[in-house]
Amino acid sequence: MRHPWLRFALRRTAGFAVSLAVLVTITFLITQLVPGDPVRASLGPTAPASLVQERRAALHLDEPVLQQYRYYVEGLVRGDFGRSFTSGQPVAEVIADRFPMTLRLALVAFVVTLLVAVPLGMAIAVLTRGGRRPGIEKSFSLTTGFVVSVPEYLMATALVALFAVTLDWLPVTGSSDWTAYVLPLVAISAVPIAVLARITRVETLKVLDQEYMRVARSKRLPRRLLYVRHALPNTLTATLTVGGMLLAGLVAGTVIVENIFSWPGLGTAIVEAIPQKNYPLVQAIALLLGTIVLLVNFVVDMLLARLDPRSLIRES
Amino acid sequence: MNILSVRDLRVRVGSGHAAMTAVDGVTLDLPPGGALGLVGESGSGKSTCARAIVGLTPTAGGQVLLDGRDYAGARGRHLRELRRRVQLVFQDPRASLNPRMTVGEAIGEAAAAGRRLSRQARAAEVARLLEQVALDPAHAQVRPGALSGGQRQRVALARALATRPDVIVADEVTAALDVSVQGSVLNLLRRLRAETGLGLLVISHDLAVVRYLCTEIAVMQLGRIVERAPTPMLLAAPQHPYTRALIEAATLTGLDGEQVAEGEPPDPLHPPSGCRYRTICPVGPLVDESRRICVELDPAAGVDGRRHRAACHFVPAETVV
Amino acid sequence: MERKRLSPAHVAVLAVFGLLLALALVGPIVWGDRAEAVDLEALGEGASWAHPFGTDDLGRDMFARVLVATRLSLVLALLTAGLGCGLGLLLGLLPTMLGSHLGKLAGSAIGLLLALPGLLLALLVATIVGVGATGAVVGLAVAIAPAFARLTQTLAAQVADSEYVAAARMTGISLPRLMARHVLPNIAPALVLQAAMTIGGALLALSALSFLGLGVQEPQYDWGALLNAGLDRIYVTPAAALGPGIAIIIAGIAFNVTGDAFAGALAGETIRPARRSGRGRSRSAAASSAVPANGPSTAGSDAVLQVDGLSVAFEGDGGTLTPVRDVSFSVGAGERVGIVGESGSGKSLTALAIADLIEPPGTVQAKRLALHGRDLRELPERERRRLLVTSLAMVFQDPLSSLNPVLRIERQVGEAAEVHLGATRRQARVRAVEQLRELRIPGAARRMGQHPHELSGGMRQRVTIAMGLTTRPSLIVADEPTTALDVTVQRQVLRVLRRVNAEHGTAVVLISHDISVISAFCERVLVMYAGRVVEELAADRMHADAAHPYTRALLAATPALDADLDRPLATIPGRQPALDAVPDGCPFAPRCVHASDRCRERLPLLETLGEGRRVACWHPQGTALPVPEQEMKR
Repeated sequence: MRHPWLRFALRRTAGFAVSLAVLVTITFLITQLVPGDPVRASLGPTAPASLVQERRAALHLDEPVLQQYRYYVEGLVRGDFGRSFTSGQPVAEVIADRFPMTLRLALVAFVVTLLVAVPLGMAIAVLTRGGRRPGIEKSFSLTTGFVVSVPEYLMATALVALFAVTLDWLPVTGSSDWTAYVLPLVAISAVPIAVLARITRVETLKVLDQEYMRVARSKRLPRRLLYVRHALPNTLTATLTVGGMLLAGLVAGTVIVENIFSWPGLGTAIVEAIPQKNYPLVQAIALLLGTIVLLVNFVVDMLLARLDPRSLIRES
Repeated sequence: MNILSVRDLRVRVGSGHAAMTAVDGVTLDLPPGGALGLVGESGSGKSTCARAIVGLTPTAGGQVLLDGRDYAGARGRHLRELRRRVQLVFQDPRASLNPRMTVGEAIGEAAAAGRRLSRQARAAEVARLLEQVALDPAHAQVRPGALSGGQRQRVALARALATRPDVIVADEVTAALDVSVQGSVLNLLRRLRAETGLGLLVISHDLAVVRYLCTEIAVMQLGRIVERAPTPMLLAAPQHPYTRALIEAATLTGLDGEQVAEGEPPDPLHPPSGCRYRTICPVGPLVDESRRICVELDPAAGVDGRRHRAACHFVPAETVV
Repeated sequence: MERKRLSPAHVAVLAVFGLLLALALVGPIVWGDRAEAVDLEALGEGASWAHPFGTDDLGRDMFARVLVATRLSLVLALLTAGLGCGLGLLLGLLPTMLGSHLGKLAGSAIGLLLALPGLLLALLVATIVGVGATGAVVGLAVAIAPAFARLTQTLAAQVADSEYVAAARMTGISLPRLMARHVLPNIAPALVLQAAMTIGGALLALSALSFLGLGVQEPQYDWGALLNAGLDRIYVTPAAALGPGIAIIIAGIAFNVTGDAFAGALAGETIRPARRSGRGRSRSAAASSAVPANGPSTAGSDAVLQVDGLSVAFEGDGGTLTPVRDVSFSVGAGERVGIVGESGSGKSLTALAIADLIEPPGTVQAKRLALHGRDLRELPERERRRLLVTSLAMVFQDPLSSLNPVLRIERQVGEAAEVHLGATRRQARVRAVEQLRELRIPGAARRMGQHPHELSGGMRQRVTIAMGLTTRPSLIVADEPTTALDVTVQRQVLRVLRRVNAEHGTAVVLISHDISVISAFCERVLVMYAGRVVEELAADRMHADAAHPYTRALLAATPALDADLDRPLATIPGRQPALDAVPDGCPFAPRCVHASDRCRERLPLLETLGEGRRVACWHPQGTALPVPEQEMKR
């Protein structure tokens, strides 16, 4: 029966398109909603009127809003994000320069999170089921509880203070070789790992208590089959849904952590651009990061629909 | 004159591609003080029908007549009047009683709805109602969590009685109870009907429950009434093959006879053409291919004067009344 | 009603919480001047006695600044959380308040906002509003709102759909009253809790924005701004970054743990009414396995199953609970034996114990627990598994939850043959199709590729039966296999079990609360009450022979199609004793009309009354047989 899946895929694709359109509109609205003249605000009160006028014309700011929106969308389609207010460089170039750095960091962090958190959560669930090994359970919930309470920028600061400043084992800034990845990665993924491991544990405990697990046990299956074939796929729905949301958090974490480690990515760029009122750059970066998150959520949903046939029903 | 009449009631549930007509042209009559049983299995639409009668689920057509006046799709004051006069008692008293209100508050609230009652009058009314359902009036102070299942269901009944209804619709009121206390709720319903002349519409999957409470039975399958008759006639000489299957299943007879061919149960989203029971019917085209009429023609139960009616093209000759 | 007691850790955190509040109130008054005092002699100093966290680049004392910053940090967090939750509440109530179409739209709008990363939303709004404290507060509020809206939406929908709200609507009360009495009290606690936890989150997020230089601006400062200033000098004076960092962590943990504590108390409060029957477990001397019970009635050597002195116990915090006590019976080849009892009688745990499926903290004790004469507990792990797989199949109550929702039927039915009989994937599939055909499942081959949710209820239960039969066991233990099914489907499933029994000589142990199902299907019946077998008798002699008052009451309370309509239905007063309060004497005595002092004091043992008849009662009914005098004291 491919029919329900196809219907689901179509609906989900449409949903993705709508979300994307909304994101594009929101980013477009930034220049419209900023009080006063965005160009004047950006260039400062001392800039000559002729320069302001020139910039406004280049940005089509004097034309009707709908017309501007058309130019904006057309520009996006061509890959033209405008020019940076501060440097005059095409925004697309800035992004092309910095995006790979951020993507690399976020992707590696995402993969590390999944690879560490899911097996960890499952293992703890299996070990502590039915009130067994209360020591392991306590230390797990204490540790994860602590990690969750420490925001990534503090984690990063503490890591820098310990490993880079005091012990001088790892570099603080830049992205020269693999050692430069270690601290930012730990800082970004610590909280998501703790959150996801907790959720995986709870979900696994729920699944292990299901009647179908008892039935699987009554078939005397080896443990590997029991946990990997029968339990794991059932925990994935919750785990991956949360995983998708965590990725949104991960993007946020990247923005912050990049600044601490002076990582030449989009995060440092947007944090510089906001006080400088460099709107085109802010728009482009926000659009890009938002699109990534929407895309991942979309992919997760499609994946789940394949893995867990119930999600198709739940949707309708 | 019937106290409650349902004429050609239709209810649509779900939306989009999951939409279906859960109740499809149901007609029922309840004389004052009468007791009618609506029997069917899960998915037959019997509970949806009950909720539609009391206005908890919107209707898509038909009439709900109280003393000859149509309340289908009633709103505001009319809806409140309908609900005051026709009370629904739900299956699971654990779910239907607000866990944060005491028994007295729950019953008192219903008693005071729509009329002014002093504090003392309200307390007296609560005590009277609790006694009527054979509970100690001291129970007014406790929360439902402190009561047993049977007691909770009696509280739910007392709350329903609080609005002084003409009819009580009892939706599977014993299904969530232990067998040891089911009897107490059934005995109570019987006693109330005998003492107060209350009309009863009993919704149940259990023929024994309905037989115990009701003088007439309607059998529902996939949104339609397939047979209705006075209780003894229906049980002694069932005409519709589905009713026969229900009785066989309830008495658990013939467990080791040879099995006849078995079809697939009909899909409620896409009900079959003609007779809706034909895909699993033991007398229809599944066993006798010449019986094309079951596929082509809907055997709607004709509304004529007979007291025993069945919606089947092949009612056995010897049982036709 | 007793309150859930807070642990010492929670008390400590609450104390920290109070300290933070006090600091926020008095901090700026007490240390305000010191925090602003510029000291050009001590620019950017490290930690010292005079300046525990050092000084900043104007020589101002960092310790004082951290203390003073408490107020602004907390106030901004409160503002943000308040604004965000308020927005979220409005947004979240829209789907329930607007009609179905507009409501759906509002629901998708919430979903859309939820999909965007919060920080991104916050940054965008902050860009529009302008960099500074206002921008940060408004931006974060917008970022917080969608999650709070989703929670509100879910809770409101749940409560609005609940039967007690439907029941309240039935009484005709007004809409405002309905909201005030029935809806709000049931969603408010969870919302308040969420709002409180949001404050903690807002505090951390605001600090993050200030830390990035996008929040609080000079000359104002909060912890994030202080941390930012400190980070620039982390190589020189780490203490300057450490101070505000510690403050943020302490506040974060305080908010999280306080939230957890309240959530725990809240959960405890809502759960308590459901199980009221005193949880203070008494210690029961579980000496029952030492009881010299009469041996199982049909203990032939050809017995498929022999159970003697079986007990199941659970170790808990307050003592040991023993839901199954000293159960003995046996099942001959091809026999159909029924176990009947109310919920809590121990019948399902007996089944699980037989199938070796009791898991820790549960423990199983028995003098003998043998399949085909081989005691399970004496076999090595491998052989025990093999014996269980080839001789016993389990069928559980709810066919939908018995089947793994994500695996295809082919996998689930064929699996056992693949794992235990060494069949290939293809052979296992052939075997599975055969098995489904044998159980008369229409379109057997087509079912292989389907998932459980695509099957009807009756078909699902037949699939679970097929699943156990692929290894050709000699015994099926079916635990309430038809309870979740409609009556006509129940009949189908019972017929299927009966045919397997007749054609392959497979013995069946059928467990049910429904005495009519048991008596129609089985040859021999065991009646269980409060963990013990109280009577054993032939199914077809049930109405004639039942000697135990409980069996007789159970029969009389079951509404049957041939019951006498002129007599009120029998009921059994009282309840089965709670596991921790099983009386010393006969467990049924408190509910029994025939109970005497002896019944209340001494436990009657299961004694043989005649061929295939055993009863545990001091006053067996309707029988002239002598009452056995052997008795025991617990």
